Amino acid sequence: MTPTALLLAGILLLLVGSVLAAAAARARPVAHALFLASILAGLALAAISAVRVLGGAEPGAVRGAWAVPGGFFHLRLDALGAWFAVVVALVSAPIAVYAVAYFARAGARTFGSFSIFLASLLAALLTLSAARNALLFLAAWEVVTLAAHLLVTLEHEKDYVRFSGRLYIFANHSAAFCLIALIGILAVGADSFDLGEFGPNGAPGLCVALALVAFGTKAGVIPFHIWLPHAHPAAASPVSAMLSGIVLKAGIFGILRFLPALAHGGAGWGVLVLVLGAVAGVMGVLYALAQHELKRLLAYHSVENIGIILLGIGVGLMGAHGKLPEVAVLGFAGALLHMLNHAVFKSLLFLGAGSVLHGAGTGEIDELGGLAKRMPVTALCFLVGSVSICGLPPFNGFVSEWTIYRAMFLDARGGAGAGRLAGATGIVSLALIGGLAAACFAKAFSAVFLGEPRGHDAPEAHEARPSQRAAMAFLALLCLAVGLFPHVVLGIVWPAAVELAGGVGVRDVPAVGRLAPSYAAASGVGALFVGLALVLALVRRGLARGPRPVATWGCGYALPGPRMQYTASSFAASLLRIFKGLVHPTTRLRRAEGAFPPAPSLLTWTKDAAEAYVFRPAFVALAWPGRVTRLLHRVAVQYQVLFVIVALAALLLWKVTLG
Amino acid sequence: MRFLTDSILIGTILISVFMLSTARLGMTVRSFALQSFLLAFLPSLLHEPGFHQILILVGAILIKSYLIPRFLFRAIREVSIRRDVQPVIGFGTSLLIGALLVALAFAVSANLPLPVGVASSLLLPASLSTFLLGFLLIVSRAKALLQVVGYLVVENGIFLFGVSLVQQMPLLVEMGILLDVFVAVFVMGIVIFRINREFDHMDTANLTTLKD
Amino acid sequence: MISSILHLLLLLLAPPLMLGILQRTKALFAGRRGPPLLQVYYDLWKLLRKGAVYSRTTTWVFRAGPVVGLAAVIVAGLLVPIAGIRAPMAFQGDLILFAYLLGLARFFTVLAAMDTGSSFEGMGASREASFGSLAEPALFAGLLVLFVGSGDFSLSGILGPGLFRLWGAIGPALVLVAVSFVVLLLAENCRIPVDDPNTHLELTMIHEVMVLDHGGPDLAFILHGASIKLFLFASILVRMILPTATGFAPLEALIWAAGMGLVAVAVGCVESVMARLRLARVPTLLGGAMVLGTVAIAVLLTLESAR
Repeated sequence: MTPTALLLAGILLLLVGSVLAAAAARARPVAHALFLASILAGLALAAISAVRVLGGAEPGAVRGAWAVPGGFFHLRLDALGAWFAVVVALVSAPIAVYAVAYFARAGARTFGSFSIFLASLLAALLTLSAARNALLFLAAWEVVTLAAHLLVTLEHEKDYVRFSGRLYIFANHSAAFCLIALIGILAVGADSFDLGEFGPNGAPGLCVALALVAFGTKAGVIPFHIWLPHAHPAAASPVSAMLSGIVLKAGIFGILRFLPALAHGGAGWGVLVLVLGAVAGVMGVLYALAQHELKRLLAYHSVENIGIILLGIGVGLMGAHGKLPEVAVLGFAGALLHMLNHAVFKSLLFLGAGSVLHGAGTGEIDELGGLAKRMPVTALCFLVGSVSICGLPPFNGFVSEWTIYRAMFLDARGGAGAGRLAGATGIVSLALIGGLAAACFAKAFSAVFLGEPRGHDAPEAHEARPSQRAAMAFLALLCLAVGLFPHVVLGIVWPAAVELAGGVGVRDVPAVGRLAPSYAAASGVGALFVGLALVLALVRRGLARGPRPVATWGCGYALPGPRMQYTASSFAASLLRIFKGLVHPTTRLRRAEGAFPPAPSLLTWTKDAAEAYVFRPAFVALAWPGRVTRLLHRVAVQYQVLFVIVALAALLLWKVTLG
Repeated sequence: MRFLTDSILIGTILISVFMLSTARLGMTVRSFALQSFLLAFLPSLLHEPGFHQILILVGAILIKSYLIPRFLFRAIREVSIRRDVQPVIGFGTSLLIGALLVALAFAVSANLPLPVGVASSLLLPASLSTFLLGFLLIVSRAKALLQVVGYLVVENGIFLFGVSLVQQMPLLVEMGILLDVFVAVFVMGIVIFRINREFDHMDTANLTTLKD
Repeated sequence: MISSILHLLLLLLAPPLMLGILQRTKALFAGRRGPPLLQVYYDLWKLLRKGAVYSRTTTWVFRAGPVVGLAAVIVAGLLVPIAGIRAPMAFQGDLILFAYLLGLARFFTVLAAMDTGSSFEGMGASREASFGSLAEPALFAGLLVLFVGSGDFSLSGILGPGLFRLWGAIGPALVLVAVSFVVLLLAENCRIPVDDPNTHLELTMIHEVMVLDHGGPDLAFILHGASIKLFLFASILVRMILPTATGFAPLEALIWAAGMGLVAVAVGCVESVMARLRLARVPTLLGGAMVLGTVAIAVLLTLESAR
């Protein structure tokens, strides 16, 4: 069986199994077993086929007729698609395991719908990875959007959930218009709907703009990210993990898939992507710092990490333009690696946030605290995720950021003209992003898990279920494994990066063997660090003589209470004050004044500039013509039909006169 | 020699950046004096030292790093204001904008055709940066006195530009500029005293409330 | 092999001496005789033998903080060449790993401080995280200049014998980087004018207030880690300012050692003659270091294109 056929088998298995599970939803154990078995088996088949392709096997192709004009059922799993399939499979499996326990208390209907929606989402994503026909790609793309929308609105009894779901589907459908237009233009240029035939054409600027809107919206690139901070907190935690971990990556995958057709759009394309990435990264992390809700904070970090991926793609394109094969491949490899790494640690963090939400009853960071004692496993896993997302060694985030840094350093040295300056800008912004992300996760982790409980519910918090803990532990181990064996992972991702670089015209790509030694050395440093830390911990243990438990030193104050702790908001305040030119937190302070003062309070919140100053006014403006046309609805039916006929006649006339 | 020139040029840029980051009026004036002092040596370093160069050297040091600062210090004493507490643009932000302007200056001058025989490739970017940073200083500060200093920094940028462009800088032009500046400082000094006497502060933002 | 062992020994044993020289300098400025040069060693020994006291609020994260911090700094130290001699671990891209290992140490120190639930330590942690994230871009800008100039991608290569020639080629840019590294050295190691290690008011401290609750061996780990960090930054700075290339290792080592002593004395002088900046002004200082780095990059690119 060729890998592509195997992938197709996996997709079918997923779909059939989940439908059966939904049908048996009332018999809960059976449904759970069916669901897990089919999803895990389907994903395993997909992963096996993808690894075979990345290992150099001939992917083979699956072709079939399709009753859509111009459409042709054509699947072929190339290296890039295989990498995407690996990401999907590796991350969805633990999420599915986690979700079973998460939805255990929910009604049979909820679980049944979840089962079908998740399977359709996964099937669509896997189809996307191998689709070679543009219309098939488009169809799978739309199924991804719809399935994700249905998953987000699973708990549709809540108003906010419905609002977020609507926002999500509006944003992504508007973006789909751009994708349709893009495919139209490219298909006319290539006179074919085959993705492989798409190439540069007469309107490169337009194509790039359309691609940025279409894929950028799905990926959550600033300023098209406005759906993201709403949809992530509204959705159930496993769904947020899917959204952030995988669905966003579909946008990135789309950009990469269409890269060969877009990359010839001039030298500025790479610089543009890089600058977009830098802006998205810095703004994303600054907004994250200003958040008070755990899942919203994580959502803005997705914006940041998509920015980092764009930095990699941008520098890769600049390398391709400047005839620097090593820069190009390293940039693309870094972007692909970060795609995987972000999927792993972000889904881990969202699952951890789900456990916190479930166990402590709230996601408001300033009401939590001290959960590490109550939820030790969740705390450890969340810590691993936090360290990884900050790009700190010896975890996986470092590997991809390191790769992107290397590409940018090399570009700053060997590139030409503006490329060098752009490379330098990228380095400085990535450094700033890294530092700010560390500050933000120091805030998030410590406010949620360390210290004393601040709110009322936190003391009664309970740990996640065993299967959920296992799912989180799996992802955490994955973070460590990628971080400790970067040379192995680099070898796996290399074919995909080379394929991408080849697609944009890079020849004479260096062999992976040239870079492997430094990656192996970094792995050695990571292992050394882990070993040294263990040795020091043992030494430390040998030295400790009867640790004595006391109260925290309050600098002389005798009655410290949990409410006196430094909160997450105060932790972030100093940084936000420094960057108040870029994010404006609004503060409302009510002092205790007068003889009978009301309860004093301090409220701070941060408006998203893109939402508040771009999209909201734009939609308000758009509502005006809408209101005018709504007047037409009030007139009698005959008139409405008349409008239709007049419009039809006008169109016919136009067609006739123009020939 | 080359190293000395480059160091003076970079020092000029850095001093302008420093002026953006400090709130103290006295420090700003001192920085300006130092900048002018350093710049005064440039003509002698770049060209064959002759009578003109010596004249510029002595004249520039005398006027820009002694007379004008002295005058400005007297103004500071008179109005007894030591700091610009509420600048129009904050120190951090103006530093950031300053960094962008310096980068812009370097990027622009990389694309400008250099006249033949320019001694240092840093001359043009340094003059442009000084020029732009001076303007930023004028824009970002609320106190009139700092705006005067900003004006003077702009003049230093022009001076640098002249040095970099003209082999034998016409003495007359430079003297004219100097005189211009001197008169401008004089007039603005009088204006500052006036504002101060009438309104007990020297915040130019309040000038807009004056009508008729 | 022998040089690796020497490197490790020097890395573990020499740093407290620098702190000793620094304190002695400050004492002399203040007209006191000051503690013996080896005082920090005595302190470490004393702390290691003491028992530990832990707050009931804390968890294992509090205990992991000092251990991870020290381990990360030591491993980072294995990447930095001493006296221009190749470090035990040197490879392409290690300079980024160096910066991120220090970031890891900072991350865990901040977490340990937050674990105590004390508002004072939270304050210090918040400041450390803020200023640390502002220092990062300046550090990377400096590293970029060194990398582009030398063409080598490892700290050992950059700070090796080739540095001497680099000064002739891009001297002005290197001056800027050196100045920004001085600022970073002071900021990252909690020295005046950014932080005052000797202030008596918790409200105004950064690093010291973060480790208020640590005692005994934990405090010893933290103290040693801090001294190694200062040692590493000083080592890079000394190499930048005194890029000798005599080819005779003992002489190189002697020059380097003298330079390290000078840096310690210089930091002591700075601490004695300057006042601590107001906390609100520290970002401006770090921003200034960032601007220095940016200007250095611009100057470098201009000089390179002119060549």
